[in-house]
Amino acid sequence: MSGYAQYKNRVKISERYGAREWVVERVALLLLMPLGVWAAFSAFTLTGADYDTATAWFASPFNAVLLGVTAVVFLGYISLAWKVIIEDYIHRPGNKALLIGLSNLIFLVLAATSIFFITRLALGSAPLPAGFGA
Amino acid sequence: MVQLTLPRGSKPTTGKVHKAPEGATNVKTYKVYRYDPEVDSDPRWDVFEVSADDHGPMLLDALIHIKNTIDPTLAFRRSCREGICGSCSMTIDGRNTLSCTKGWEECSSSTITIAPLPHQPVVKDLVTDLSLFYAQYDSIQPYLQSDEPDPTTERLQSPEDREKLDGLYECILCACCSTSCPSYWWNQKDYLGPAALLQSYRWIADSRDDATQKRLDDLEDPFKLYRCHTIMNCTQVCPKGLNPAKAIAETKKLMVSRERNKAKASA
Repeated sequence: MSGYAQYKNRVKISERYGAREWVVERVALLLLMPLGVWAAFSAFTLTGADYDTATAWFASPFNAVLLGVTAVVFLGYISLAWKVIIEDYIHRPGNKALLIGLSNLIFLVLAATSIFFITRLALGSAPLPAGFGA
Repeated sequence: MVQLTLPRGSKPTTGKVHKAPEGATNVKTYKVYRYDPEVDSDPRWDVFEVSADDHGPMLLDALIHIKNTIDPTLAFRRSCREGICGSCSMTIDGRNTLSCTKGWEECSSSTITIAPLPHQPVVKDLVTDLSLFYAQYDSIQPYLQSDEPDPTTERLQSPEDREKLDGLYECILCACCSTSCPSYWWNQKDYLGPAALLQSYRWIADSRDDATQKRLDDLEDPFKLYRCHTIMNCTQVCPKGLNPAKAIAETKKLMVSRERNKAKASA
């Protein structure tokens, strides 16, 4: 992080990392291309379907696994994108670290929640546990 | 937070208008940024009406004419007048370029706006402080580093290897690319910018240079290299027609193959 950066003759000294994160971003984007097409196609085919058809679709192990992978890769990619945006525009090291931590936490919670509901639907349960809504 | 509005003392006001003499023909209007931080509280836009018949075809000719005949206090850098030295880089009609290779007839606007390179401290008028830009260039060690002992004759290179340097060595360090890059605007303290990265790749790609791994080590950083978001302004504005964005992409590709090799070696 830039807050701990060291400088020599006004130029930053390399922190010797960054390549792996760059590769992860690209791989995630490549994965999202076919997954996004599949998700859009699935949403299109489910449009107007009745309740039983929809729950049957979610109960399919293939759909559930692919949906879980799509959700995790998508949220992971968005979290990396937010990190880059925060690093670009927030220059105070404390604020930057806090916002990146907060953003990571939000996307982690969203990913965990997505997996929870996808699993419930795949197991044939109601979308929400008993006591949480209808 | 990044500064999205101009701070106090940076908002240009309306300045003097220097009218063309009666009967002047082929009159062009130039709106020129004027600021002397030691004297002025705010910058201003001065307007100069100049007969294009009185000077040469380039915008630098117009500026020299203005300085010689209308306002000798106007400050700008210039030297070679033929696109080799990179001294006269400035923002003309919103685009960074060299005023010596830009013809006033190429500008379609009725009033040609001339400003200093963006996001650099202004020394005076169109002269900016490029000391950080030069420090960044210096940091990439822009010279041959070979493990071989010094030869008695020149170091030979195959025509194919020499070809790899085309489009890289021609950079004149005018700073048009770096100062047109939004990522450089926000993070120039940490990001090396397209010019320094192009020059770094020029040495990485040189078959005679043996310091590739060290050069890549020095670049591997989330800010120094990876703040390039492939915006491509650098390539769009380069007055020499170079492609810094491609050089940066090639460097990133080398980083990936290096990571892969490291992973293979540790497996």
